Amino acid sequence: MSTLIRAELTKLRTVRSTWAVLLVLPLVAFITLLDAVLDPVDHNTSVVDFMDISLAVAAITLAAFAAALVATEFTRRMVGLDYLTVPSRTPVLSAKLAAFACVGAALGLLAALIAHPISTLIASGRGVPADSPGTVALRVIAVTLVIAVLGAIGAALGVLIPQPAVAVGAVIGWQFVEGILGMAFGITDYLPIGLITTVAHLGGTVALPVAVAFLCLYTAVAASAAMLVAKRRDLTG
Amino acid sequence: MASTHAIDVKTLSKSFGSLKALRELSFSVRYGSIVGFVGPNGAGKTTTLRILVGHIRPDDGHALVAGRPYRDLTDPLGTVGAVLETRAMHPGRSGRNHLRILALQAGVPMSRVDELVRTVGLEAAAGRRVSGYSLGMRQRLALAAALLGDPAILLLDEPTNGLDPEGIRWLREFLRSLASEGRAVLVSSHGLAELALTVDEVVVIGHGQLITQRPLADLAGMAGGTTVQISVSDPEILAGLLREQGHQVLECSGEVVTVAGSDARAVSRIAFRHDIGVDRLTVDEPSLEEAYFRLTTGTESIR
Repeated sequence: MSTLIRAELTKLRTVRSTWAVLLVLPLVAFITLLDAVLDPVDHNTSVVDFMDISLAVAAITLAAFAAALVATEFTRRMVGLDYLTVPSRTPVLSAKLAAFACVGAALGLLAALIAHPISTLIASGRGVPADSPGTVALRVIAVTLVIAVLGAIGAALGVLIPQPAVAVGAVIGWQFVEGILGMAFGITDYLPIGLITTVAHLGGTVALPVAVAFLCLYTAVAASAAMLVAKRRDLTG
Repeated sequence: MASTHAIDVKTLSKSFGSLKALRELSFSVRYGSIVGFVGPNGAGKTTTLRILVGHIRPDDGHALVAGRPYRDLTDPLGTVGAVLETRAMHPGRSGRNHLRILALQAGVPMSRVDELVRTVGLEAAAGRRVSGYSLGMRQRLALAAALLGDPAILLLDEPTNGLDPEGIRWLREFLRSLASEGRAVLVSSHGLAELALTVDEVVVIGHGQLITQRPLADLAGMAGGTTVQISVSDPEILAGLLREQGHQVLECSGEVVTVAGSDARAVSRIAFRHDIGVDRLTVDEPSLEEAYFRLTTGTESIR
């Protein structure tokens, strides 16, 4: 399995589009600053409030990238070569999801390390208390985990929707769907984006462990659905 | 190479919705032979090849490689090499990296990548991105990928597409050398002429059904025997004389008399002996293409 994950990571490393995703990092810094500038009368009460939007942009970018790249593997039948090498599809697909989770973790870590100091600076200028070192560490871990999970979910979406444009559309469109579902049934805090916000904030209406558990459950459901669909899908010409 | 047949397809059936792609197709391929898999577009060749490597699940029947379904192979890349699609490579990745990734997945040493890059003649282009490759270069890269595990069985779908005449000749000699090492090669094509110089045997299919499997030499005979065509001033008289001498006159149309057999000397001697002026004399050998068309007439693409 580790060999397959290494191969998937090598795939990502050897195309330019992966490196282009890193452009989201300066964007994270820019959006964090812009958010503060555009909202001078602040009602933010915690450091993490200042980096919500920028981290959301990083997370959605990665999920969309994962969905597009994996969907392209199906559109162009590149996944057929993986199946030739490893005929059992579950390890192949698991490796893809794991590789995007790794990329997500790396991107999440970098995004957190960029956004947090900027947010702390802005927060201190506005009289918002800084995070304790322990909270900083936990927040960085939480952001890393959240973006890693979104990488895997994005990759699963790419398997489920093997058309890159539609898969990216689904990632972006999900926010609206979740908004409608949340309002209609009053379950916003238990839906993926609500849970991601809770985890990044290290707690909220839903307790942190419950939010993490629900997030893991959603990832497992997305991954299982992807495996099931891909295992039954004929790879036609 | 424990199994007798490298490839064994038995009563294979597959439908895509209402379209019956394969109907109880059966054929086999021996080790050490190159078998042409021919039929019109939409006959079911690609579907069969994809079933052989587990990309498509059959509705019925079985497709075995080295005596097993592909998914049960312990060393798939070392058993079967397949070229199914030349666009199945990321355009932004270099040819060498494309092969390295496959080698990594299959546990093949990286030295094999450089060896194959040389074998398929892509040394100069291996570091370039695939988007800059011609179709012929993609074919060579796909072939290199298929050979990574040094397989005993090769499945090639239209491998000459995009190759220039030199490339086609190279491929022909390369496949022959592989077969001489005891490997089995199944190579699909929608035309027989391009395979005529390469294959030992042909499997002809149409509408997803087996039309025939036979040695190449036998196939030519199916187009009908050799004929002599003689263009003369008095065709009716010559036709009568030939019949009297026991020749089988197949046709007498315009100035041309068509006679079964290949004895042009005997036919011309009769004409000269009776002072019939001969304008033209040809011996018409049956071509593989004619045999192919005869076999596949009415089985054109249904997709």
